[in-house]
Amino acid sequence: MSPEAGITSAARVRAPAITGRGIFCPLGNNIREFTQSLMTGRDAVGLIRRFCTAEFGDRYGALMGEAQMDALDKRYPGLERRIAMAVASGEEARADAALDRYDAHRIALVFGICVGNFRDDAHDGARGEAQHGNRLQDSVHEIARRLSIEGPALAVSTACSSSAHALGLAQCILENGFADAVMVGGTGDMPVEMFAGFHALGAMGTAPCAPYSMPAGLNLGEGAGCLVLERPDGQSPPHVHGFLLGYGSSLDAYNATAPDPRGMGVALAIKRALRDAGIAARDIGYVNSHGTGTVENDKSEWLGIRKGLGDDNVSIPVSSSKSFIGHTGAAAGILEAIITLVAMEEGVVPPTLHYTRPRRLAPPDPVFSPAPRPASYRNAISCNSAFGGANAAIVLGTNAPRNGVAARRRELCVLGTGTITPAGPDRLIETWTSANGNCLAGTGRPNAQSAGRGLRVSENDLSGIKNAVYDRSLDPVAKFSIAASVLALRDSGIGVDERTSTGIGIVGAVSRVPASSIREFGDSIKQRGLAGVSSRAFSRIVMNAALGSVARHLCVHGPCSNIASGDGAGLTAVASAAMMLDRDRDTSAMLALAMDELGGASAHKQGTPGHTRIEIEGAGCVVIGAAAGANPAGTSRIGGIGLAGPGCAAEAVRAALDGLAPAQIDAVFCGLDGTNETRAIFDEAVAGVWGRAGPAAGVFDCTPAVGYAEASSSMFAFILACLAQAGRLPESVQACGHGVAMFPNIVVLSVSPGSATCAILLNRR
Amino acid sequence: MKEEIRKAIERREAVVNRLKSTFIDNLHLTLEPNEIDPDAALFGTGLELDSIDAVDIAIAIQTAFGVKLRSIASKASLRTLNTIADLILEAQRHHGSA
Amino acid sequence: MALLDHVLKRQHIDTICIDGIRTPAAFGSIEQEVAAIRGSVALSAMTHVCMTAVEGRDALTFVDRICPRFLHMNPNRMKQTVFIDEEGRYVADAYVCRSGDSYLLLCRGVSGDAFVQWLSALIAESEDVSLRSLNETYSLIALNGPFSWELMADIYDPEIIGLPYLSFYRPSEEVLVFRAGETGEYGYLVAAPHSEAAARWEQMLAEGERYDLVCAGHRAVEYCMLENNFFNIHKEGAFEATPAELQIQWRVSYRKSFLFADRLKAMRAKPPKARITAVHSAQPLYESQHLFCDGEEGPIGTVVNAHRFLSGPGHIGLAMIDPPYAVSGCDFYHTNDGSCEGAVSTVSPPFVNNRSLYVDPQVHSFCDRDGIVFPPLCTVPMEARKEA
Repeated sequence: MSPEAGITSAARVRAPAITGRGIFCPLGNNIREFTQSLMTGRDAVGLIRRFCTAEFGDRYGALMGEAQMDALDKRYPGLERRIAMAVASGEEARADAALDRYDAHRIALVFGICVGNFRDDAHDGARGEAQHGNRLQDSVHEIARRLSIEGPALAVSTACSSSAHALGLAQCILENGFADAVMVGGTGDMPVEMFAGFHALGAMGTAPCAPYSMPAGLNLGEGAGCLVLERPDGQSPPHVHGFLLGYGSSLDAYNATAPDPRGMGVALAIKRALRDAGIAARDIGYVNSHGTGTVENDKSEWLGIRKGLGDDNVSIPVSSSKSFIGHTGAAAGILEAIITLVAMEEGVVPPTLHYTRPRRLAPPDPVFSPAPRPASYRNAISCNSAFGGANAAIVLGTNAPRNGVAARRRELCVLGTGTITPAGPDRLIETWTSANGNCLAGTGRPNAQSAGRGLRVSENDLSGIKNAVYDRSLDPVAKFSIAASVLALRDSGIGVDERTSTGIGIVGAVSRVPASSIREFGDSIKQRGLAGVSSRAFSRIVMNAALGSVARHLCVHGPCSNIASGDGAGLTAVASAAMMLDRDRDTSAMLALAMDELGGASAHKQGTPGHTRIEIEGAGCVVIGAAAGANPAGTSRIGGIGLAGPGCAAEAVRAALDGLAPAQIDAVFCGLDGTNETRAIFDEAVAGVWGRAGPAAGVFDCTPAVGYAEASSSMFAFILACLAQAGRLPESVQACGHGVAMFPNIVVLSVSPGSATCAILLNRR
Repeated sequence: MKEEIRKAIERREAVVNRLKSTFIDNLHLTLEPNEIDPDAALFGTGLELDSIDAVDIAIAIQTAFGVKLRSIASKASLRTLNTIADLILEAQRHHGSA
Repeated sequence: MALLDHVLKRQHIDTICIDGIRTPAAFGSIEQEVAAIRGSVALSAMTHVCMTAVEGRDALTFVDRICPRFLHMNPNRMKQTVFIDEEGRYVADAYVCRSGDSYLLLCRGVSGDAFVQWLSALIAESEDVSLRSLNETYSLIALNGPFSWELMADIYDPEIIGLPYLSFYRPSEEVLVFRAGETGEYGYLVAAPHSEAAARWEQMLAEGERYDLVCAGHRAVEYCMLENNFFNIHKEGAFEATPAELQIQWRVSYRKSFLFADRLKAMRAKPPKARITAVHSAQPLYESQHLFCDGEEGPIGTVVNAHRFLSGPGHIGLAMIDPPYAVSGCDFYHTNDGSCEGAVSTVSPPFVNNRSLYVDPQVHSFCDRDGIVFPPLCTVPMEARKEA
């Protein structure tokens, strides 16, 4: 992946082919049943019978019936429903695509998933990891296991646009050759707590949802879907259902739950997707909108769609599938993409149901009709928006695009870093070196100095960074994230203003549901009952809430994603940010931001003898940008990226080296979780690439000294590597041993048995 | 001051003060009670609360005072702390919901 | 030609001088003008509001340094504040509007020149800040009313419905449209070069006909400010009162370090001598009138702003009342003008249930306004309450 090569021999592939489809939802147990339902205009919205809705007043939803649920439970005994639905749809897609054509470790899984399990933190700790608790990645790992997928498996969580953003990540993974096929999916169910949360926000409708019509309000739904994407030049698939021609995303930077009323974010996402696809708006035959049915969403989104398509194209049919499948949360993106694909193939546009009378500021052609309307078109857009202002748009097409020239890789550098840990802001180096006795290597027992004032981030440290962190609507994890990103931006010298804000985006890395917010949410239920749940807390339990807060405070509108893969997510977010920058010229910088909050009971993992793993909280952020114009002295260049399955760490390293000889690597940095399992995989990988001796200057694991944070530790390791290359290590450390003052070539490696391995090569410029 | 006037004033102040602390606790306002203007707008400007807060306010008022806000009344009542106090005192007078 | 000249050219109207600037006082009867503000759309020429651009590399830090309120806002947003000086006097009632890397200040209570002079004196040697008084070349038009959004949508863009409160945008290079107002109804301010403003004025008059548009002068707008308890720097603000006494603490922050922070903290430390309280009476109220409490000797407060109530019976006002008595919802006060005792109640402002609260641009339109259910306009309780 070295930039000098320009167009590499493994030519960058555009437009993945969609070779497999699977679905499990109230309108069908599989694609065939679903297609029948769709074509006859079947409506899954009805009175909710699964739980009592008397105290809410809102009574409608699109839920599976008893029979369908029983069949699902029988098929997957003991499996949580939303995982079961995911596996059911995944099995169908896998068979449809005949994925046995590929080695298991060359198949990746990217899954859109949200908080669904509202159990008490306390219970989770006692039950241990067998329960999926509040770590979304554990669910995704289970799905990968059952689908026999051994490549990278990653949870993406951006609330209602999760599976749409998952498609974007899948696109990057394929283009960079980290997998030959990617299963992309999403799953969402409707726990009564979620129903209560939306009710508290006043978003629910008291009638079947009628986007672009009256009465306003949304209905929740449930379901799961999967699509298999692969490179068009891969092994011949049994069939091709279409192509993911383009993808675009953006941040509203407006409000935690309400969309930007002018639809600017939606417009940006659509324009980016069209540009990515190389297609003009006039060639789009249909738009599947997010269309939740609320006044705020529908109006704002329509203004955005109109802006995105241009005034000449306002008569393109725009309909909302939520009118018949409800709002399926994390599954919305994938289910609506599947609906769009199926409809395009069948030569129809799906309807918007439940029309009574028109609403102002709505599409002129919302396809008000009891059943799909015949239409012939080759390209369509599906878009989704979410809490936290994350928007995504995809362009789907029936025809393979003409051969485009693969773009030159961009030279990417680390422009700035920022961290907040219990030791204070930007204290990583001090923490690490003082624990190791002013040396880099060592068993690094955490001492009073290195552990800082304890495990928690201190409020005093936050206050000096930006007054805005005292915004009362922020929970601790949002405050850490804002602090780290403000520090990183300052370090980079990048100014955010009207000209630059659309070109700067954020990829988040998270592990658990924000602890304070889920506790507040749970407490509000205990104190006030479900009908009195705290809407503020509800808005903060989405995994990308902090990401949205950061975007609002920095006022950035660029591309976004949120990797919820737990351990090692930080490094994966850096990789993802780099891949997104690589493919979009109009993005000038991306922040990769990892954040963790203490309070979630993580099961006690077996540590390596001699190490006592201390859990910490905090956040780490890096700013990555194009090299041109960047401060040349001391910045680290991203020389290569590798992403592979949990058992293929050596492969990830080799991909990152991209032809560079292992002997030229000075050091490997990591932030391991301290378990025997991870250590074993890591050591094996290092030995596999470098042999017993390892890299010249050694392996540096920052966890013993700094402490461990699931998503952030790999980010801390990356940042330490950058700081080392920038010569920011204290003199005493530079003089100490190893004969190497600074490290011209470092590989940062994260290994996570439950998700993926990720490696990034840093070259000092 | 006449006794009944003093009592009326005290009753009023008690409600307003309790409202202030309810707001500070539930909405995590970083203000001292005497920094909150009782006639300042709650939404849009003034205290700059938003629609998410509106629900929390309604619940907090119900919990603290036992007064339930009906949606039609709420737009008129939820303008300032004083308008909420009016509602609460009115409801207390009639021992019912407002 | 400035907007005022254009307006005066059309018809002779009363003007009034505010901070040395002429502005239309009234176009017709105040009842008619207020009815339009409260019921449909009213057009005003805001010549007395001064517009100042603060630009330069240090523009943001400079304004932040002298402003008593935390100014965290994204570009194209605005915040209300007051500027105070080292004596604790209110220099201006301001909207601070962030336009990229510069600020635009829309101020009442001071003329453009005086304000620029005051600001210039505060710029530090090392600060790269330039000030531009825009009133020479720009005019400011206001549209207020429950259906003002509809006329704005016709004239500019249907998207204007999406413009959030206290934000602004540029429909074209030279024009700014702010969503802000002082009447409690949907309100918009349009800043444009004089000739464009004049053309827009004409256009609004013409297209406003179908919305029963009426031109409203300063008296009507100021009256609506009173009805909605919008701080009037010329009336309440003319007293040497602290933000706590004036109930404008929300416009400042005691925690912010800025140029006159010590002064502000000193104002906070003073025990309040009075508090501004809304009052209502069946009898006339007028400024500087004393208020008494039943059974007490001596006055307990003074009216600082008053007017005949145009949206209900009687008279409304704002009074500075001594702390123990400065409580709303009480009816045991009175005025005493020699032979006549007028009963006075303290009430919770605003005095009106703004119709804009019940108009939803998504669903409603001026032409079917009769179908909208509005609660009674007047919020003042009519039966006297006897305290138990």
